[in-house]
Amino acid sequence: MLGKNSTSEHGPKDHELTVTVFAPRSVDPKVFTWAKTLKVADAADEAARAFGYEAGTPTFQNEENEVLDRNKPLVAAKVKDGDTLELVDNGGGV
Amino acid sequence: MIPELMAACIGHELPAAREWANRHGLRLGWDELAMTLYMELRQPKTGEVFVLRGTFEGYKSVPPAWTFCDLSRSDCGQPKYFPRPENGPGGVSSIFLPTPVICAPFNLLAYAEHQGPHGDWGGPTKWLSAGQGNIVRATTIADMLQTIRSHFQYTAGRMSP
Repeated sequence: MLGKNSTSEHGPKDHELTVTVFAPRSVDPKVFTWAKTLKVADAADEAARAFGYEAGTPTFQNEENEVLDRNKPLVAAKVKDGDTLELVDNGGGV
Repeated sequence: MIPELMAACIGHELPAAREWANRHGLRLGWDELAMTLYMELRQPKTGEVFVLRGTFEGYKSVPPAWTFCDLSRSDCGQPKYFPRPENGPGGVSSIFLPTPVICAPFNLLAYAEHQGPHGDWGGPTKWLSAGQGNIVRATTIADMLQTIRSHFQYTAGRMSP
């Protein structure tokens, strides 16, 4: 019998989640697998680099149009396995 | 910038902008002759429709000129066509000001050279690296639209009646 934290042959580990990330500048999305405890900031920074963004303050927007708090872990930001996220910049105006 | 280069830059970026608009249930209108983009945005708090316009003369040497227009698109730039700003979650300052200008490095009209408030960004030709710290950054058409929409989501009402 598989243990709680064992890796399924076909899915992510229990402590990970896999999401599809769209970026405004790209026609095609990218798929990422991250630890649930990874901070939104770190995940967004990785996604931003993968899409070719430089500088800025990246975060994600979920399908409810909520902009995720960069300081929260993905799981605390209610990101779930299978979610679709949009990469957005969280910078402000002046 | 020579017209062919402008057209190439825009042609390279428009497909992603159209895909972005489709993902979010928005319609993007592009007038190739006028080098002008229009997009209607519905304000979540009031249901009112606002018409965003971007004109791309000189793109990408300088940023587009973004403003809001009336529903007929014949008159633009008046306070009554702009949303009334509210800051976003976490106190993120809005790109919408109490005056009718979208205040971001990707808007030509934000620069002092074009009667905007910013003489501290190095001029429009430095727009791709303008702004410091947590100032919003968007350097493609789709990224600019995403940023404008993100900030627009938190606005409430119009700047003036």
